Amino acid sequence: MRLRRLTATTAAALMLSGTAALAVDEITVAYFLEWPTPNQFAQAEELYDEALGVRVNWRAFETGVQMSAAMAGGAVQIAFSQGVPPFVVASSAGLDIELVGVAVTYDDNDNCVVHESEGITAENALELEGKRVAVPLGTAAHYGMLRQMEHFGVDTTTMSIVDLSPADGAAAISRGDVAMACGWGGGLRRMLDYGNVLLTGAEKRALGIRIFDVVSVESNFAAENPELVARFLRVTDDMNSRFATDREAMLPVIADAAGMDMDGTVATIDGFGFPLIEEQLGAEWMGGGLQEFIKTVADFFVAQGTIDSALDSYEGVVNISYMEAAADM
Amino acid sequence: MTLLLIYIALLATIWALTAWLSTRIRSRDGMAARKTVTFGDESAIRPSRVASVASVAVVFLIWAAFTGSSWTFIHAPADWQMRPIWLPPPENVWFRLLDIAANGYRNFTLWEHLSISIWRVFTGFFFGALIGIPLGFAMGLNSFLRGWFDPIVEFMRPVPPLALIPLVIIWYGIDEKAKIILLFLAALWIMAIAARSGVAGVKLSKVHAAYSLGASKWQLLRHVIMPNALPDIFTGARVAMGVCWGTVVAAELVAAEKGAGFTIMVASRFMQTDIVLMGIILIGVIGYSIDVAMRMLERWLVPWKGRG
Repeated sequence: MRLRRLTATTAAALMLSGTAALAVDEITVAYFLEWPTPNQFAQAEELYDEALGVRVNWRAFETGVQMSAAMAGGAVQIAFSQGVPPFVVASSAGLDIELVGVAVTYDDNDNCVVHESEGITAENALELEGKRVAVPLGTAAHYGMLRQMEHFGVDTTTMSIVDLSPADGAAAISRGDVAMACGWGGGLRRMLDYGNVLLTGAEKRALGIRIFDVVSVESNFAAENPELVARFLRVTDDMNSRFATDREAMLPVIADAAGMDMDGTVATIDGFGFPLIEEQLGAEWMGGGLQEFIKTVADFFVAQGTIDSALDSYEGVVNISYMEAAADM
Repeated sequence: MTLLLIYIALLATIWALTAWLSTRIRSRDGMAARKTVTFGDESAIRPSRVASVASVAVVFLIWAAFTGSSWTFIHAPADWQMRPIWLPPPENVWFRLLDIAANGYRNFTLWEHLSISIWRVFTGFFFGALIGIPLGFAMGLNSFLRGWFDPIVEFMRPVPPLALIPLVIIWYGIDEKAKIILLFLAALWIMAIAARSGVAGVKLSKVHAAYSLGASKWQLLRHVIMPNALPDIFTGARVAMGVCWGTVVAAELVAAEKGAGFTIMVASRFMQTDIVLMGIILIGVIGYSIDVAMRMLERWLVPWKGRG
């Protein structure tokens, strides 16, 4: 028995060292299902494989936290549309990951919904104190919820906060089990059948609550293969600009790749924004605004006691060189 | 890989050391002392206390050595060291435990997190036993009822309680009730089958002896079947407790606001590996304590076990 385990471990160790020694001939990209983006057209048509010259495997994940862990473990090299909070948590904890671009912005596609029977709006939001709330903890929705409550002056320690995914949160609010539920995508749309939001996307943006997903990479992989990362960003950008003109042809392919029906895809993707390279390199994003915003999120999490410490500056984990290289391609 | 070799080397060294020591101090007593050969004779095997203590110590030593702990002076070379985000040193976990015990975690104290989990397990188990044991007796004593319940019990028994979580959330919401029902379902089938096999295990000679002495059906149930089925029921209860404890931790991964499993889940979202480890150790310790307590209870309540 002991001998058998020994051989098995040896074999596993050999296999691991074997893959590490080989030159990169395939990469794995993490993405979310039911999260339709124009670049999924390239995913389905294998345009990435063509442009990068390596095999590109796409692996669906449940949460951005798992994406971080998979990147750190070397199973995934690029995470497409990881949420900001998981990225902040992982980079603050010292994981070797870098932010190389913005995948999608969705202020209107991530919000909290109050059950209609509560009769609570922005005017009397303080009444939310002591209520039960369903939130997917550690996600952009969680961050958005905490910032909204901070804005209204609601003491969240009085709330009973239940950890539920958006789909389960929608089920809970439909049963009236919770007074408020937070989430995104399809779950959020179902929640809206049972209640109202407190703040619209534009109102949240005015308060400095920005909701977007990022493209993050494993730092060592990116440093060794800058060309691949830049080309990945280039193809993504091409798809984003093509989507503006060639939308009807791309939508069915995207819907298929996202695992959704057409109506759901259109409803979701209409709530998304896809900043192009020039915009991303501007002051609002990677020109400085992005780094500052990430620092704000990290400091907020530290103040909330959800993470132990933040980095002094997040300029070191945001690497704009790949995006600049992609701009020149 | 190297880790495994180090572990085996340590195991061998300590084994050789204790073997050498025990030749000096003859500690075997009773029958085993008089046996010349014990290899292959399971009845002569007693867990060596020294080995158990050394085993735990070795695990801690390796853990500390590879995480750069300040608690040990033996350290693995620098490039072998684990980073705290993967595996924090033992003192981090210990200080985190003290911190959470004093200040709580996510609005609840450590005791509230643990006690709610324990309370859920005991409540679910209690109702599972309350329904399961009579159900098992009924199936053991009546042909119609056995035929009636057999397909249901045999069908539900292999279904892992975790597979029922989505249904339980839809049907019963996210209150305590939902979690208790899940644990109830985890315990129910195990208790029913244990009680049924307990009834089946009663020796026919005892039943005939009681009847020939003029016992009524009620007296037979109370004085012959119940006491003789109890050892089996206790074995079932130990299994059910273990399953319930495993299930509650997993059930708290979904839709919870406090609990031992919830603590681990949330900590992992924020990459607080020390809290995850602390939670795992506490869950292990509590699960082990529950089993030890059940064994003691069994020895105290069913002293006639294995002597029928």
